[in-house]
Amino acid sequence: MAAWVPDRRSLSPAPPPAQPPAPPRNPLPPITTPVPPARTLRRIPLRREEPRPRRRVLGWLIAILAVLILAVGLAAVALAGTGYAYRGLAGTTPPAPLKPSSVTPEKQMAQLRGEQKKLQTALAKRIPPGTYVVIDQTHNRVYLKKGEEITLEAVCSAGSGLVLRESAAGGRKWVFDTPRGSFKVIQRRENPVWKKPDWAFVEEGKPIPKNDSDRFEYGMLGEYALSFGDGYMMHGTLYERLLGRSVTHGCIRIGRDDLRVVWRECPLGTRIFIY
Amino acid sequence: MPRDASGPPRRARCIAGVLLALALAALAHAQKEPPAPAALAAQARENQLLQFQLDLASGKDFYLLLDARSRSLRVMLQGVTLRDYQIRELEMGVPRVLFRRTEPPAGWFDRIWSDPQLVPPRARDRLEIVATGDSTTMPEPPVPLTPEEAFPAPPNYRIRYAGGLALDVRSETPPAMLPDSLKEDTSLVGRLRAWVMEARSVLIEDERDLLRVRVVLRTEDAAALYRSMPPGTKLLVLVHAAGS
Repeated sequence: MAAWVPDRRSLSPAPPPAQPPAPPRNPLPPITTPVPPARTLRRIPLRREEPRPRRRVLGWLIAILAVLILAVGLAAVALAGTGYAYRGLAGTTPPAPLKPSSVTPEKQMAQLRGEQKKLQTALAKRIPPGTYVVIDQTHNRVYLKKGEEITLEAVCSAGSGLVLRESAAGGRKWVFDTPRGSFKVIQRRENPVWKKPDWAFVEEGKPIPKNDSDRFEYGMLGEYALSFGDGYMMHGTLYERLLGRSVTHGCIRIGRDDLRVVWRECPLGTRIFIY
Repeated sequence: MPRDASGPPRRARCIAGVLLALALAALAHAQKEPPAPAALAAQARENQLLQFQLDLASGKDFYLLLDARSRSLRVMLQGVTLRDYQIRELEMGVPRVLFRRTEPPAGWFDRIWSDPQLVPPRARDRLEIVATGDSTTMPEPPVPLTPEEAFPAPPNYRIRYAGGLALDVRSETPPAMLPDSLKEDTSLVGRLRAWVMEARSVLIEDERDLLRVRVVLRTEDAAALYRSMPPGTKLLVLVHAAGS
């Protein structure tokens, strides 16, 4: 067994430290720059570096937020200034459509006034001279008017707007609308008899009669009927409870009492305006 | 015969009266100034508006007559007033982009506007019945709807005319009964959305109105106009000359 022998080199005493160089013979005061103490130099960088990543993120966040706020603000301002700007019509003065004229202003004014009278007269002539009928088919109202004055306002029933097809495979088709426009009373009948058209049979699911006499129905149209063309009429009804609703096949149904007034006030040729 | 004492003074009074009348007539004549160019222009404008009305009355189309002076909106046909709506408020609006207003189309008050479009459109669901040919199997006729049910009207809508003018109709107060689809969203989000949509409509050419004439009507009137305005109804805005 080999005995442990300590290494002599490791046990030998450390060599003496090298001697510093001898100072110069002619010593001048050394140029020294102020150097901070070693401790300060080491610690300051450490303190600065430690919070840097957090602050940088925060800084970015604040910047992004500021940009966002600015963008939203700008968008809001832009939005506020975009749209429609309203003002009264009172300040709108149309330019004068006056043609240059060689006549004196007095004569020109007299001409213009004369022209105005002519136009006013022509316009006034458009209004029917006597009683006329106005029908609001959407709201089921009938009005008798004289000039601008309403002499009767009554509930009526206008076209239902339904579509009837003869069969699924095709065939004829009827749309039960009341026509719009200007009409005239072209026929007046007391105790009218209704000659049922084809659609009335199709609607009931009955065969269309070959004989005309099978088409007549009594009492359905009330006491009076005033025709205004294409088979359309103002007439009475058995179903007064449905007045005010759009239920007809295009005719105008009026209640008994109101129909009597209409009959009395509307001779042949009376104008009817339906809108 | 005694002389009439009242003779000379009466004659004198007569002469004085005649002289006074002559003087007044001369004064009136002297004071009568020729009509100012503005008065002539105003008169010409009135005549022009009458001519427009006559043109419309001679046609077969329905038309709306918006009178800025009398604040009325009338549905007309051939010169006859079918329905008269009183306007509560009347304004005109032009598109504005970034606070910069555009000018209304030139001569917008000198023309008849046609080819209208309701926005939102007035939908009508037509029921169709197919005949079976057998009275026992024919379907029962449906329960008729009231006009309010058949044509629910939004509180605010526009009638857009070809050429860029839109009649912006507003109800004075929101209607009491409205389907949810037509109710105006009065929440903050709803208002913001409306605001954005308004701005959007200015920026998108197809949606832009070059001029909006905004009328505020009674709630029932606004709804009635929406329901019953005949298709193809033209428009004439009567803007009178100032001072006429």
